[in-house]
Amino acid sequence: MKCYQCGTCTADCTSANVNDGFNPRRMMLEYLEEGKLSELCWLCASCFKCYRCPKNVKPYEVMAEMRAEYIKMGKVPAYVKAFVETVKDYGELDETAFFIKLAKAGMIMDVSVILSTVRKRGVKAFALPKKSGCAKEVSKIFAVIERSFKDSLRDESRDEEGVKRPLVSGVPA
Amino acid sequence: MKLAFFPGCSAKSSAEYAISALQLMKKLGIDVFCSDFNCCGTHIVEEYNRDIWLALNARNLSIAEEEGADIVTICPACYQNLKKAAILLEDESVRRNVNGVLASVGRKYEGGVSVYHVLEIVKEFAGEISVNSNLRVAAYYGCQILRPPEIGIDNAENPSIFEDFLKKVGFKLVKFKAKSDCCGGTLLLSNPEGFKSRSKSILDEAKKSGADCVATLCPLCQFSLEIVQNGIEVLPFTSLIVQNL
Ligand code: SF4
Ligand code: SF4
Repeated sequence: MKCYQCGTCTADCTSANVNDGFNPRRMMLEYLEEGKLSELCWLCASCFKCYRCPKNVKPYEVMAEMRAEYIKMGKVPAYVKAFVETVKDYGELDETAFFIKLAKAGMIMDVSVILSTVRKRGVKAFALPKKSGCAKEVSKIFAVIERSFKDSLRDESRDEEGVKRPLVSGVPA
Repeated sequence: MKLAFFPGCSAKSSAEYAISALQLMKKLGIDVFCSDFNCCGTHIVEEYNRDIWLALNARNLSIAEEEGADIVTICPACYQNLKKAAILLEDESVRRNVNGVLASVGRKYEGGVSVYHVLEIVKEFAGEISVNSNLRVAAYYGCQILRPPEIGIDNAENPSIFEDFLKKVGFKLVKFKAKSDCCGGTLLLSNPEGFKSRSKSILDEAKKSGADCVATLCPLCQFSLEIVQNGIEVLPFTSLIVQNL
């Protein structure tokens, strides 16, 4: 395997710094050697500090791969689902719509975050959700790709292992 | 050069940054306009469905292309997503597939649109900007403007593009050890305590360095540092300039 367990990634890692259990070196070993996913991947800060890996393993990409695996299995954290659905419906991350979706999923924002938003934006912090001009086109793009994804599960565009081939990008996630 | 302005979703909570960036570019005589862009998707949509992520970014690129413009954004995350997509879309077969989807919304992307962060644009005009200020500034890069190195706008290990620019326009810069550390803003929802301790350590370091204020170039960094404020002023770099002209 490419990773030789030097620990450079862990030493530089933002998330390891604020969460004792978060150890990219160990996560690389377990995933790349044994294919073992770790829920901790959701706590990666996407800071790319681990680019210094002397073996160019790119732990930040491996973290993203693990998250994509979870999503494929349908194990999607509430905030990810709320984010994607907000973009799909509104064309952009309408904050009010996002916060409402989060609250519906039982996730309440940290009080200091809410206070800071209110302090900055005044009454506008309570603005009603508003679809941006591009919302229709964006929803359409989601629908077109999601439909062809469903089709691909039925027809021959499924490859030998039964995994969906990328429909558009030609580059696996 | 004609530029389409891409504020990005988090610019709404840092409206000051978007407004001042536009003001500064207009003042410098740059031909910049706003358009009907959608969210870049961020890594969240990319991990949810990479095809959708690519098509969303292709839509944005196609809008700039239609106007004969390149894209300028204030947000390092949008910069990174648009740029990554633009690189992928230089491949003709990828573009053909994506155009199959874009056709459903009446659009098409031919390729060749460049993506810039606003710092890359205004730094070319440094000689035309002169501020009247004695502020000692800590220039804060954060993460995504520098890393990963193949996308970043300067040397990830030892960047100087931001300080060099602010110095040229007339600010005094302090040596800021935390300049490319992470504010933890992306942990806002998943680990709020972790996020606060990261942001706080950035501001504590800025205080130690003797700075009067912190200049940011990322809306999420700006938002995060404001939440944990410790008395030191935090400003988007374009506001800092416009306020001191
Ligand atoms: S990208 Fe994730 S794994 Fe890599 S250093 Fe940052 S927080 Fe750690
Ligand atoms: S991923 Fe790279 S930096 Fe991390 S332990 Fe393995 S070889 Fe070292």
